[in-house]
Amino acid sequence: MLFNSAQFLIFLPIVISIYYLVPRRVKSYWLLAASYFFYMCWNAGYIVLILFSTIVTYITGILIERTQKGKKDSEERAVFDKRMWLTVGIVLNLLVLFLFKYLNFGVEILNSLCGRFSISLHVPAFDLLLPVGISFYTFQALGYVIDVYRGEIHAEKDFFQYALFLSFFPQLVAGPIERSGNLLKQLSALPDKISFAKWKEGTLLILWGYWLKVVLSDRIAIFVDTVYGDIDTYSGCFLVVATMLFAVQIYCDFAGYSIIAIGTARILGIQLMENFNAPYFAMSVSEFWRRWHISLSGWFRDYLYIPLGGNRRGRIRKYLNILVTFGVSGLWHGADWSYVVWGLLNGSYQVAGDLFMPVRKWFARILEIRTQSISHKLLKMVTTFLLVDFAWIFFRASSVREALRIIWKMVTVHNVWILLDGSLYTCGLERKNFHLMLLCIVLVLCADWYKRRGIKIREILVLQDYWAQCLVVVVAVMGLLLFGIWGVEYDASGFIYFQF
Amino acid sequence: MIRRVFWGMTTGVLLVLILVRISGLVERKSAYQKNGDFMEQSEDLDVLFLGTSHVINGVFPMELWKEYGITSYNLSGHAHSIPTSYWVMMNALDYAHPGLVVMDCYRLEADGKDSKSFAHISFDSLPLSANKVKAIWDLYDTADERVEYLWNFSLYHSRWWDVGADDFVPVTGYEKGAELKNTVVRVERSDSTDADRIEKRTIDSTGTVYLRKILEECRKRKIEVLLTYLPFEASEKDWISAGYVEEIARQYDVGYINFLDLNVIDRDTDYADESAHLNLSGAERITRYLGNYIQQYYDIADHRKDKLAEQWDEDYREYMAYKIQRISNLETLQNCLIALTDPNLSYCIYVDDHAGIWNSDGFYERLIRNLVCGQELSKLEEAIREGESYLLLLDRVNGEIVEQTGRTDLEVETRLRSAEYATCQRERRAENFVSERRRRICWLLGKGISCLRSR
Repeated sequence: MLFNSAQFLIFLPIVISIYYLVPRRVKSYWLLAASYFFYMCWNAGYIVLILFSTIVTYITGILIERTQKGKKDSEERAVFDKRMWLTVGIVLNLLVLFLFKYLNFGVEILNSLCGRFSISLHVPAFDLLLPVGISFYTFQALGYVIDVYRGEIHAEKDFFQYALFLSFFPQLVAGPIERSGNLLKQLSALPDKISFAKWKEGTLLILWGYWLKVVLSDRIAIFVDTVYGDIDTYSGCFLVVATMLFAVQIYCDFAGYSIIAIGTARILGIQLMENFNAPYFAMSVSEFWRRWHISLSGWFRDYLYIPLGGNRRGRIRKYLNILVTFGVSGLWHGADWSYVVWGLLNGSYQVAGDLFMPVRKWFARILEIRTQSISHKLLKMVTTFLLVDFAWIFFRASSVREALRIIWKMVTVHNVWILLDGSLYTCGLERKNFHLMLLCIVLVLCADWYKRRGIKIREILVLQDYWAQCLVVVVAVMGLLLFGIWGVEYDASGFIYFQF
Repeated sequence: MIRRVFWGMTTGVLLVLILVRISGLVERKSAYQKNGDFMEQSEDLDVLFLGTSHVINGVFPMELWKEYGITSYNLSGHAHSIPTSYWVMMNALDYAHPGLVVMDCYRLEADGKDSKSFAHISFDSLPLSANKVKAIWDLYDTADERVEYLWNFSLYHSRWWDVGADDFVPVTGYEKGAELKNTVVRVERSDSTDADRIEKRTIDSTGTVYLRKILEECRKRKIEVLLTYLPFEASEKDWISAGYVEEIARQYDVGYINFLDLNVIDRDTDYADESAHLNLSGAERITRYLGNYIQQYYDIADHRKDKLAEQWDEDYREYMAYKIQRISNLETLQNCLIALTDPNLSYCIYVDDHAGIWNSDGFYERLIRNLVCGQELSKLEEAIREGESYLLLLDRVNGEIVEQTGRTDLEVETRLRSAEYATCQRERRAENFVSERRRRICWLLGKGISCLRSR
């Protein structure tokens, strides 16, 4: 069930109510049952896959930990066994992921290569439905196994506790990808009583998450889908505006989901990690990736980039590691060359940024550029945004070919007057809706700007008098109901990252 | 703790109050404009009309009041299925206690229950009740559709950008559920006109099931039923349906008027659009026919001299003012000529010899003859033949028809005042006076209508 669905709005209060009514020893079982029910609402068959991943990584975690250190040759044997169990855990999980997500992509590549070399071989594609959230919980499971291997945590002996860690419903289908050290510890010490402060904080987070998703992201989607759906009619500046708006759409969509997940977990007394930290105020692409989808970036840093050598094997190797990491990250997002290109593009930005850093510093020194001035920082933010936004074209397009076509239409069609003659109101959003969208974007930018400066608006809010908090909640809820893109005229659009 | 509970409850109450107010604001007001005063006057109603848009455009309760003293309401709806009409009736009977229900049986053969989004025009103005819930539950299968009707904020909330003055101060309609159309269109004739050649067939459909439910419910409540099949360009399947309605009427011993088989309307002048909905001229004929039929065969009281008269006369005055105001906004000659079929209007029409309207295959001639409902217009043919100008003065109060051809002056006594009509310079804009019994003035605009001065 989607977070922005009536079913979830009924499901959540029931889960929370019963959670706080049952004894502490039963709470984790209740959450486990609720999480599995939540997952099975998508497709009951999916439970087999998450159970498989749970069982495999649970067992391999225990086996890795049990591997004894004894005599010298036993030590070598122990290392071998640990690596073997680690490999088994990783391979089996990745196999499932490959089967459901990448098999057809692989078949397509194989068929294409065979065709190129005139080899008569045609492997049929398989019609397998991609289980929702498989990329997320698979990585969470792999992270656990690797953490056990590295000795950073002890293997979880309680199967149900571990199953809950992997299937915890707020973050099951679209993250944040939690670390075992953080979440497992909290799940084993669930709070007995409801904390009013956490309940309030969680509610405010959920409201904000819904605003981002239902009011802003889904509203922008109407415009973007209209333009991207007919690039022959809407070319030139239409595509420029739509691409910039897509950057906001995907941020609000994904951040909205994460915030709802974090808020829900907060009400249950669980602290999930932050997943977004004002990413569009980053002053470089590498900083952007420290602020965007923090849980995934951190996962790739800790479990791929650093094991590959990180930046400790020389500059060339560092650049290669960055490109590999971001290429794989692109592939994680989708089984299509457009995602790979998107990932590699982001990697290339960082490589180029690093390569040309001395040149930039030289120019700044020669031209006496005040690098600490607000104007310079603003220039860096805008440049970073434009670079990232350009890459989003490949993310949004259905293929590399289409992305290149979009770029071509952007560059070759000159119609800047559409920004002034009201044409923007003909792309699915009439004037007032368009202006509301702009107003909400300004609101989100302000909130993020404060966040970048370390000021959390909700923390200020909870310190206000009750009547002010009451007013804010009433306005927020009414705004959601009135301005939100929901109801019978709209399909409740899924969250973009659900497809991963 | 107490403070938290207090503010929590305050938040909840405030939310509900604001939500209720805003729901009312953003809700589309079409249902209230159509059926707005049904709830207020439900106790007074003797006749309810049900059916599709054929009935909306074809039956005028206000004319039934004026000519026969019948208090009625037109609860039909666009694209209403018979199941929808059944549930509209069931909900209406929570408030009204009529002596007669007139049910038009168009779409008898249809199996679908819902009327798509058109049912909002009937259900939005009804308060939430057991019958409303049962209606929506029966007519719609999905949760989304049911929520759409039972909590229509889920549909209308996106209207926030379209809210205007009418949403703050809703305007109730004047037509008691009807919608008059002042347009005229020549519709392609249907081939199926010979009722005798159409085979009689039993129809086993959802429409039939619900028609029987209507009849049984009315029988249980001792309400008389009159079945109708209002006129339009019917296909063979419509004739078969109309034939089966006759069978059902016989089974239940209720009255039935198959207008398809009667020559009540003029098919050249009485259709308002390509779908053959009736215009004012056609509706006047149907309403008059129904009024006479009800007066003759049903024991429905004439309230023109009792306690209801004051309110309903006032409603009628507002209705006439609305009609006059609509006429004054008309721009095409044919629409004006249809509007003038109103039996309450007296007027003068002048067609200049250079107007050129007689060239269009006799259409305007038919429209002008339609104004006098079959009475002789001896000088019209002469004017057409000789290519001369033509004046028609219709004084409905005195029942006089005055005609004149050629460019000669005319002096005539009318109910309002003496009038002299002198030719003047040709002007495009018509400047004439139309009087009716209550001395209202309206403007006529149109091609071929020339300037006259009254002095």
